Amino acid sequence: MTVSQVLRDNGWPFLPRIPRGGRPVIRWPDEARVAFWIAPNIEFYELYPPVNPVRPSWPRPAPDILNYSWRDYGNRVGVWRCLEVFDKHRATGSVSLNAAMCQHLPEVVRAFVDRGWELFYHGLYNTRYAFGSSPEQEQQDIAAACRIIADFRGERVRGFLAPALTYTEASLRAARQAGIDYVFDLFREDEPFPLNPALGRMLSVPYQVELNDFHHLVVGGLSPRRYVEQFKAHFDRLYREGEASGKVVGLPLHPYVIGSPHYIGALDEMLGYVRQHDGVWHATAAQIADWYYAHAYDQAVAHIEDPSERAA
Amino acid sequence: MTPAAESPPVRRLDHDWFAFRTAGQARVPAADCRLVVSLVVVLQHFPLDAKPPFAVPGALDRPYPDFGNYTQRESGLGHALWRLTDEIEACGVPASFVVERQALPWLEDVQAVLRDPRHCLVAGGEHAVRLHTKEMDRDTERRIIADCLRDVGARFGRPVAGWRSPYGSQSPATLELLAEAGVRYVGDFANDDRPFGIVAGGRPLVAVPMNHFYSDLHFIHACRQHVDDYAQATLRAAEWLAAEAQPAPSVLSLVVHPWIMGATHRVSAFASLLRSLQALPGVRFMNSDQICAASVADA
Repeated sequence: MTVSQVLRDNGWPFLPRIPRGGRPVIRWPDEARVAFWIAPNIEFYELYPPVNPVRPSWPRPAPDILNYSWRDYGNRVGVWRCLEVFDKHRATGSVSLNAAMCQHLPEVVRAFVDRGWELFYHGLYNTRYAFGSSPEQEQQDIAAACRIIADFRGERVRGFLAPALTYTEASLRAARQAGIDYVFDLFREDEPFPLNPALGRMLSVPYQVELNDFHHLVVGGLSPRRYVEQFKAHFDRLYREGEASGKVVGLPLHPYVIGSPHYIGALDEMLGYVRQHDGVWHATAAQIADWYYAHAYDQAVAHIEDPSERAA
Repeated sequence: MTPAAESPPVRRLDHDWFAFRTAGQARVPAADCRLVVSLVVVLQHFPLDAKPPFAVPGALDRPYPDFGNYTQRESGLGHALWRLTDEIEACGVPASFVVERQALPWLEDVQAVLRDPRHCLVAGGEHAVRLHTKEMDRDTERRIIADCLRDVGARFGRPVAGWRSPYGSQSPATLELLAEAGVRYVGDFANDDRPFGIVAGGRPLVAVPMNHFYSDLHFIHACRQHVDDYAQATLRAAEWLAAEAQPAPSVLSLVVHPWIMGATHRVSAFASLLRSLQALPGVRFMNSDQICAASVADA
């Protein structure tokens, strides 16, 4: 299958190539080697979601009590346990938020707002997908969800992670048109990166799927001990590379996974490990994006190769 | 676009069975206990000629007749079960045995264990892959529930107060039918480490933790973890829960399937885990009947 003209018209390739020699040297505040941010996914899963034409919302027929109740564990129990660990390590970050959480369970969202965490778009519900949406509908859905979050937070929503990582060819353009400044769905790099300027002024901020608790503890089946080892190896490598040019460690989490008693100790150990290191900037995604826009974006864009040369 | 302030009120949860964790939640009484460990042994029978209506871990997944998987699962009603119950008896801990109706003919050799008042019996449905779905008509589901409750209780001469569906499967009517049948508690939910109250069809039930995602079926069979990793993570989980015992102790459910945990190369490690848990300060083993009774008393 070849990339469609529709996708090209919507900005593909989203991450144009910048030659190694043309990249800006990143110097984070206080000469930090690594910017570290945490991305808890705060999600609402519906018991009887609307049917999506491409992907079922649940692995089993509704009512999928087993999986529904597992997700519910995150809001009911896991998130509070995670917050205690975040507080213990003075952690900060940005919440990947299903906007409907502001309406259903606002106290969960409020707990992060009270701690100064950023809120960013992650769909309305995690059981409603972008697959099959028209560009107009998708843009309206993004804008509507961002409005709910903005009304709750009193602040414009600037970050975007597609709900359940579901997309259309128009998703990123729709996100930009809805006012998004940076996205987390593009897993190519360990540093921020300008998106194709044809989309408008927009960045990719690393949200590392290689650290994602769901992907590694559930899909990959890692034991908590192995997960901690993997995190430390990931962090150590970027900490080393960050001496030459700053890197980002973005840690995606799901409270229904990492907040369980079997895994919460792994989170405690990982955050403690990060705190043992000097030269780490504990930041929100917004702070990372703002710093990159102010200090590196223009240089990176100036060195972008013509995307049309590679758009195959 | 409608501003949030003008939207109709949104329900906190999208069902009426139970509330978000707030006041009035049932709890295991604290007493001198910091953590309740609930050992749940699931006695499954996989008919050679039955396929589940959707994929579940551990089902016979090769074409008929899958003699290999069938007999390996059947070890969980024979040698592997005997080994496991020997270790449970040696540790002297109470257990909750989830019994599927079609597993009953295999349980002659462990009937003394299953009659022991230290343990309790939980109805586990018809068989491992007779899953409850919206396609199951109400009368059929009502009959399956009634048959299992009656036959499991009659076989061992004991009342059966709890239910755990095969693979946590439910139809839209399951909770209501369970409550109607006089079931007092259900172990299908994975959303809390403490019991909580449910109302189904106007009748009360208690959700008692029997979390599939803390089970050997999840960690060892689905996630392919070594038993030592499972044991270490479970012990760490117990320590964590014991440390956060306020305002009431949590329940660490230890759900095992004998065809997995009773395997020759795992059962000793599991016995060591039981002893390590027993040695933790403030840990008390309880069966699910006891947890339910304590929860109701404290609600």
